[in-house]
Amino acid sequence: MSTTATETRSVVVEREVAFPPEKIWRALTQPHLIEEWLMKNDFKPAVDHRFNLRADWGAVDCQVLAVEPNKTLSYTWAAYGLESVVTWTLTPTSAGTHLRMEQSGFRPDQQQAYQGAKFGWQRFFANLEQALARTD
Amino acid sequence: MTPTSQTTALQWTGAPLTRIIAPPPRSRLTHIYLGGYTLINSPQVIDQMPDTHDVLFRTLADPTRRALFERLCREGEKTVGALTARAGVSQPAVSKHLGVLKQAGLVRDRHQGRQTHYSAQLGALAPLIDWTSQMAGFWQTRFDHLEDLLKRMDQ
Repeated sequence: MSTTATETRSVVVEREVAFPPEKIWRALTQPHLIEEWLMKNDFKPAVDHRFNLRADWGAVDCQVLAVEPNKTLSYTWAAYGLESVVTWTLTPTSAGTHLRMEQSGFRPDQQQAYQGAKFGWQRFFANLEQALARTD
Repeated sequence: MTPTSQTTALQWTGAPLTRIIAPPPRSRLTHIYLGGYTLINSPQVIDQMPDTHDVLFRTLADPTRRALFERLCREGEKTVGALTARAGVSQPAVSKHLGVLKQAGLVRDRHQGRQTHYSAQLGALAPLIDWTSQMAGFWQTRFDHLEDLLKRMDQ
C-alpha cells in the first residue's frame, strides 16, 4: 500500500498545439490571459516573484523559479499541503509547438498526502458518503 | 491534438467508486487532494487497489465509525471510555467499531495499565488522496481552456 504513495509523484500532460511557442508563451505569462484558462493571478515572468492563483475555493501560493522566454517556465505550486513544482516546456515543431507540463511533488512519501488528509478529509468524506449512496 | 497524459487513472473505470469519486468537471478544483482515487500507472498498483479501497470505503461508510475516526483525527489519542462518553452508543459498540478501524489500519491501539488508547493513522488514507490523479484531471481541463484561448487570441 505504501508503494502507491511513493511511486507516482509527478503529473505530466503533453500536447501538440497548432500555434507557435511565442503565442503560447503569452498565454502562459500574461496575467489577463492566464486568468482566462487557469485562474486569477498576479503573475510576473520574473524569477523569485511570488504570486497567487486564486479561485473561489482558495488560493495556490506560487513563486517563479525559472523563466526562459518561449522555452521554459517553472514555478512552485503550494496548496492544501501539496508542495510541488510546475514546469512548462515549449518545443517548436513543424506543426506548431509541443507543449509539456510537469508537476512534481516534494516529499513524495508522506507529507502532502497527510496534510491534505488533515485539511480536507471532512469534505472528502462528505463526497464519499454521496458516492456510496449512489453505489447501490 | 493528441493528449498524451501519462496518468491513466480513468482506465480503471470498471470499479464504481473510482468513477463516482471522480468529481464533476466544474467542481474538480474543490476536490484536489481531498477525494479521489489512486493513480494507477503500474500493474502492481492496479492489483492492489480494489482491496485497499474496498476496505477503506467500507470501514468509513458507517457514520458512527467515521465519527470516532474523526474525533481521533481532531483530538488525538483517546481511550475507549473517553470516546464512548460522546459517541452516542455503548462501550461494546465503540470497541467493536474501533476493532474494525484497526483492521483497516485507520487506528492504532496502545495499552497502558488497564486502559487502551487509540490514535488515528492518517497514513492509511493515502491511497484515497493521491494528488497526482486529481491534478492530472485538472491539467487536462486547463489545457483544453488554454487551447480555446489560443484560438481566440489575435482574432
